[in-house]
Amino acid sequence: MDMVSSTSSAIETRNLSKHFRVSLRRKVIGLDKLNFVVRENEVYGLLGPNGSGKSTTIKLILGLYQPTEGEARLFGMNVESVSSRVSVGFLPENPYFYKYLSGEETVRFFGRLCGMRGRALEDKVSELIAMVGLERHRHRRLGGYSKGMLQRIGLAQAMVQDPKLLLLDEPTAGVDPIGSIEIRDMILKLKKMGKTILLCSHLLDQVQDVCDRIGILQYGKMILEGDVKELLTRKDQYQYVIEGLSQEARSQIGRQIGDKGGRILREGSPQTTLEQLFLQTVRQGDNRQEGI
Amino acid sequence: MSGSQRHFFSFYRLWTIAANTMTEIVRQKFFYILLLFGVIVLILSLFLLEFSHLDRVKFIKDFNLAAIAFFGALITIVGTAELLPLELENRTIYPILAKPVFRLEFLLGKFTGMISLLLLTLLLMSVIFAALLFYTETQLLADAMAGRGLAEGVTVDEAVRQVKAQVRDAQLFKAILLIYFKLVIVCAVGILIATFATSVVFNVICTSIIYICGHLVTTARAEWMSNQTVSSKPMLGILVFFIPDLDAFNIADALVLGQSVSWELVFQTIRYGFFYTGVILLVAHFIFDSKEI
Ligand SMILES: Nc1ncnc2c1ncn2[C@@H]1O[C@H](COP(=O)(O)OP(=O)(O)OP(=O)(O)O)[C@@H](O)[C@H]1O
Ligand SMILES: [Mg+2]
Repeated sequence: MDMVSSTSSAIETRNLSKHFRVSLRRKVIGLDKLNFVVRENEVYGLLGPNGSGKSTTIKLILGLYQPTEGEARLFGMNVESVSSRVSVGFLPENPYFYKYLSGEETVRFFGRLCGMRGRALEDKVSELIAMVGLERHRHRRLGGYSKGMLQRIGLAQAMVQDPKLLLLDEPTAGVDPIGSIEIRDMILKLKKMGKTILLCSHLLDQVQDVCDRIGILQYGKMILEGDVKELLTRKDQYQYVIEGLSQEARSQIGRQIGDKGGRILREGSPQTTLEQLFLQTVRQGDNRQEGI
Repeated sequence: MSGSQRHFFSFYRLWTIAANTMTEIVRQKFFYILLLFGVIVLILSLFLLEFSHLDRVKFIKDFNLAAIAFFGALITIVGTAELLPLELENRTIYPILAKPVFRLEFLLGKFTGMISLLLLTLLLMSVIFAALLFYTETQLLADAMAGRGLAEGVTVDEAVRQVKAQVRDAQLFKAILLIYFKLVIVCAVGILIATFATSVVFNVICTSIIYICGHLVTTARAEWMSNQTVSSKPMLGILVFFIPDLDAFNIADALVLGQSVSWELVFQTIRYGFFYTGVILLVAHFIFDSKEI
C-alpha cells in the first residue's frame, strides 16, 4: 500500500467481497471484489438497486462483517483495528437503537462510547438534538418515535464525536420533504467543514445535488463510477460559454456554425439527469446479467 | 497521519455499556415482577411463622437465605440469557461497534452491568431480611423481658443475650456474600452460552441445568472417586471438571445448624469463584471476538 493513497483517502477497498451462506449449499453474493476509493473531503454517492450491496459495503467498511476476501481501509488503517473507527460516524439502514432510551439518552450513550463526558458532552447532546429538530421530543423514549424521528436521532448519534467521516445509509428514508432538504443542506455544510461523506440513497435528485462522485453497484459489483458532472455531460454535444460578444457577433458565429454543418440546439447546460443515467445503466446491467 | 492516535481498552466505555445494561434490565417487566415476588416471599416468612413451631429466628434465617438464593438465581439466569441475543436480534450492537468500541469492552460491559444490578438486588433483599430479623428480635426481646416462654432455669438477662446473639449473626453476611459470588459465576456461564446460542429459551434452559448440576458436583465428585462402574465414569468426569462447584458457595445450611464458617474458607471459595469466572469469560471473549454478528 503506497503512502500517498493511504493518507489522502478516507476509504479504500481492495477486492472487498462478502458471501453469505444462506443454507448448506446456497450462498448469496453480497459484494463481489469491490475496489473503490473515497478521497478526503469528498461526498461520494453509492447507488444501486435494492440488494445490490450498498449496506453490505458500509458494514464491511465498519468491520461489522468479516470480508470473505479482500480488505478495507479507513484513513489508511485496516478496518479490523478498532482505532480505524475513532473518527467515523455511522447512520444504519434501520434504526438499530434501544427502544427504552430517550432521544437524549441515546445521543449521550453514543457520546460516552466515543470517550466524551461532562459539560462538553451535554452541550454537544443539546446542540445535536436542536440541529435535528427533536427538542420537543428529547425526553421521550425511542419506542414511541416515528420513522423520521428515529432517522433524525440516528443522524445526531452519528455526528456526536464530530467525526471526519460519515457513512450515511439512506439518511432521508422516512424523513418528510422539509427534513429531507435540511439533511441535504447539512451534508453540504459538512462538506464545507472539510468532512468526508459516503452516502447511500435512492433519491437521485438529491445525490446529484450533493455528491462529487458516484458509484453504481449492481449484483455486488461496481458497474459505473466517476465524477458526477463528468458522467452527466453528453459527449456527443458541445457547449461554448461565451462572455462579451455582441448580438451581431453571436449571430455571425451562429451562421458560421451552420455553414460548417453544425446546428445550435439550445443555450444553457446540456446535461441529462442522474435519474436517467441511473435507469439506463441499471437496465444495461440487467441485460448483461440475463445474457450470462 | 491524522487518524493514528492509538486506542486502548477503556473502563469508561466498559462502564457506559454496563450502566446501559442496568437501565435495560431495570426498564423491563420481568425484573420488576421477579423482584416483587422475591420481596413478597421474604415478607411472607413472618406470616408463615404463625403456623410454625420451629425456632423463629432459625426459621427466618433459613427461609430468607433460601429465598434470596432462589430469586437471585432466577433473575440472573433470565436476565443473562437475554443480554446478547437481544442485541444481536435487534442489531442494536451495530451502531455500538461502529463506534470505537472493543468487543471485549462490550462483552465485559454487559457482564459488569448484570453483576452490578445483582449486587443492588441482593443488597435490597438483604436490607429487607435484616429488617425482618430486627422486627422479630424486638418481639422476642419483649417476650423475654416479660418473662414469657423462658426455659427452666434461664434468667431474663441470659434470654436477652441469647436472642441478640442469635439475631445479630455476622455469619449471615458471609452466606449472602457467597450467594452473590455464586451468582457471578452463573452470570459468566450464561454469557458464555449466549456467545454461541441465539435463543433466549435455550440459554435459560442450559444455564438452569448447569446451575442445578453445579449443586450436585460435590456429590458427583465423591461418586467419581469411589465408583468403579465404567459406564458412568466419563459423564461424571465431565460434571466434576467442567461444571462449577456451586455447592461450595452454599453455607446457609451449616449456618442455620449453628456451625460457623471461617473467613479463610469464605475467601478461599471467593478465590475459586474469581478463577472460574475469569476462565469462563476468557473463553466467551474468544468466541465472541471472532463471531459473525
Ligand atoms: N446478514 C445477511 N445474511 C444474508 N444475506 C445478506 C445479509 N446481508 C445482506 N445480505 C444479502 O446481500 C445482498 C446485498 O444486500 P444489501 O443490504 O447490501 O443491499 P442494499 O444495496 O443495501 O439494498 P437496499 O437498497 O435494499 O438497502 C442482498 O442479496 C442481501 O440479501
Ligand atoms: Mg441498504
